[in-house]
Amino acid sequence: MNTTIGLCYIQLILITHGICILMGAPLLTDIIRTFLFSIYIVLIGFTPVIISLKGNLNDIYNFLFDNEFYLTISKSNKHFFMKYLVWGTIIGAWLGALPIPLDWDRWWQRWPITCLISSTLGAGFSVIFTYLWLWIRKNQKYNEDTE
Amino acid sequence: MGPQPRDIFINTNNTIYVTSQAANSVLVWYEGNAIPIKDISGNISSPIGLFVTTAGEIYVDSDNSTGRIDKWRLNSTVGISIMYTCTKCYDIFIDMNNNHYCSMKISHQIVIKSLDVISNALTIVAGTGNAGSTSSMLNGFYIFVGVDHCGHRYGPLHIEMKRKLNQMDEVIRNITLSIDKSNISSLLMIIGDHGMTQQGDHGGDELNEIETAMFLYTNKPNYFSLSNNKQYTVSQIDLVPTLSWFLHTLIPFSNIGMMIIDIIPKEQRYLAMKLNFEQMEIYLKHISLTLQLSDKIHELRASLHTIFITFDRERNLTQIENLFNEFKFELQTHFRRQWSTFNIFRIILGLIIMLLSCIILLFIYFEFSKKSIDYKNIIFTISLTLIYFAISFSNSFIINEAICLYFLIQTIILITKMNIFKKFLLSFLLFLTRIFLICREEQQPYCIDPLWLLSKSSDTSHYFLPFMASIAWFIILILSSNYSYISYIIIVAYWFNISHTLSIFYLSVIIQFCFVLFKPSHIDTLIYSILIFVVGYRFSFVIFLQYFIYYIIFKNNKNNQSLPLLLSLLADYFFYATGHQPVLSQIRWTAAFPTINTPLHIYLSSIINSLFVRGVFILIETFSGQILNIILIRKMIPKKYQGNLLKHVLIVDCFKLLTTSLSVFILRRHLMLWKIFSPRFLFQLVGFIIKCLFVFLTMKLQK
Repeated sequence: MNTTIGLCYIQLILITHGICILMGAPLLTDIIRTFLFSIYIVLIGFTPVIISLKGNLNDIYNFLFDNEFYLTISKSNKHFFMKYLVWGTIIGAWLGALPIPLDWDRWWQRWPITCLISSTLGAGFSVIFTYLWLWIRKNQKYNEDTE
Repeated sequence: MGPQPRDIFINTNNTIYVTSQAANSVLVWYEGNAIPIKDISGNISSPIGLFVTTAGEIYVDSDNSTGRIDKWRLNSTVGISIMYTCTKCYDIFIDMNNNHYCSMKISHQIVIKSLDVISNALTIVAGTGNAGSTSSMLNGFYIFVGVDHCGHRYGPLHIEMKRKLNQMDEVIRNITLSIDKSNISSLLMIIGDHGMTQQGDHGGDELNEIETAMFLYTNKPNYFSLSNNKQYTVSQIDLVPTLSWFLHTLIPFSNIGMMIIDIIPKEQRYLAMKLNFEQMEIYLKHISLTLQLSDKIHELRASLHTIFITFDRERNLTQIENLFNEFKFELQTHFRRQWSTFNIFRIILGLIIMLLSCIILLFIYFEFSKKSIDYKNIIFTISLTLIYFAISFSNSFIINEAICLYFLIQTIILITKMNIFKKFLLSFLLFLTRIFLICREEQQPYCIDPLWLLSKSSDTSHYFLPFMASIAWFIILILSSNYSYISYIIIVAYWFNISHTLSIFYLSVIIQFCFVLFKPSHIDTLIYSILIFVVGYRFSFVIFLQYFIYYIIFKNNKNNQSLPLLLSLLADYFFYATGHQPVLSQIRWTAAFPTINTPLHIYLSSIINSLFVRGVFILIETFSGQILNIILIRKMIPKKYQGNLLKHVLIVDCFKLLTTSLSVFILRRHLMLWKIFSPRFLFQLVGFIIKCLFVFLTMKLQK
């Protein structure tokens, strides 16, 4: 099982690298920077999903995109945390690309720096947000039950 | 010592550096050795001047024809170009303030460049450009560079700014002292071109940006006789005639400033005012056809006319000066009101009308689907729409708008629910279209156009590209079941430089046009025939890619929430991906004027050479992205869904146009208004009009 997880990591890193290039990262220059960035994203965001779904790429894809297979399974809190962690990281990395074209001439406006910071922030905020959301839902359910 | 040694430098470690002109290298000896330890050559060509800093950096003049100073480290193999001059530097010196001095023999001058400045501006510190042996001061213009850059970088209150201002102060003090010592009467004028805000920027209309100082110094006693002590303000346009007077040149034809009388010597004032008034008369006569002048201006002008031109009445000098100044004030206020004030009321009225029409369109045409509302999808679509609209509010996003639109389209493609292979194929096809983006003037240093993309007039030698383009077009024509094969064959022949094909092409286009007038359902054949001509073989691949991208998007479309936004973005993006930029200087005029001149029949040529036909060709070429968007929507989607989809796409486009107009209004005082924002608005407007026009024209289009 460890080999499948390891293989899944490598596949996801390569896929993330490809997606970064498709989204506008430079193709022939800064290859190592893009590669390190994809390693970072996969390590932070995708680790819980890979381990709990035992390294099956198809399952991961269906899980992330809410395809029909997973709607029937009861949603435990764990699933919410994992899914929102991945989406938080991805949305954070996406938002981090916004300051790059601006002409402020700052040292941190080069390619992966803003995306790294914002993906970390996105991952962190997604955990907090999921926790709060589940807590609110639990309170709502409690209120409904006692009414 | 190497052939032809030109310059020698010995540093504090007793290391000897010698330039060898004929050997194109710099030789280095340590103390005591007879053999050089290093022979630095690379892209040095015919070096003459040499200087070595205490840090061990070697500055050598290293270009054969023009001057170029390169910086070398002792162990490096390549030199970095520091400075470009007009001619070779016969000697180089670098002082403690990091100023580079270059002595140019051929132009008899010594120039200085400060390292604070990124530009290539050089300042002449000595020499008049003529050979001679006197040491007279130069009569002319100097630019003290660096203050503006320091201000932008650090702000006006930084300690670096203090250092720079002290430097400038020192220079001014030295100049005034040497003026005092000499016995030639001189006038020193120091003027700034703009101020700066607290952040060091300029270009807006804050008071501390548009106000700057002027400093005058002369060694002629009793020169300035200002009667009042209050603060004196002059406009920068008034410097033009004043400086022309001092430099004994003619005042330019379209000058609208008037002499600053108080700094002209008393005995010259009458003549100066007369000259200026005569120039203004000529110019006002010229523009009075287009600009109305008020009555007060006419009255003042008439009385000045009697003084200067017809010599009817004599007045004393003070009265003439007062009349002159009054005329200056009235005229410039009038010009400012006419030419540099916006009519805010009309602009806001127009914006409100646009907003009302957008809201009415939204309420009439936007149907809320009866299925359950998918919150995530709606939030996603709305946030992307807002980002799409917000692009036009920032100049750095507008400059890179092609990549921003590409980014948004890729996001939509990668998020929507599609078969995963189709998703990646679509993404990859879009990635391929990035090759066809061309650079804007503002992207110049870091963006270089690929050579094969720009057409040159003498590129008829290789036929590979036309061959591939003809195959691409053939595939498009077969797949879209088009019948414009004749135009296709003719244009392919034109690409392969077979003569006399263009006249047949024009004839076929005219015949097709008459045919379309009777049967409007075949308008797409006409459009394809014109497109294959105006787009040319280089960008035919983009049309090919466009066709496939739209095909994959429409193939099995599961009633996507973000499809209207995607279509609007695609139409906008393919304006850039067919090699255009929304700048007036990059309109591709070659679409209307083919490179090979074929003799045309006289009636045919009078039609073809008319402004209307050429204009239509250029419009079709520039906005081919929008046109193909509409045509492919009409052809690839079943008729019952077309109306709804087109309405939604037009709503997105209306709002985009509204936000672009709003951004131009809000940023009307921005420095880059006329260069970036308003051309973008113009192109958006014309693209929108053409899109609406084609929605109507293609109503009867059959699948």
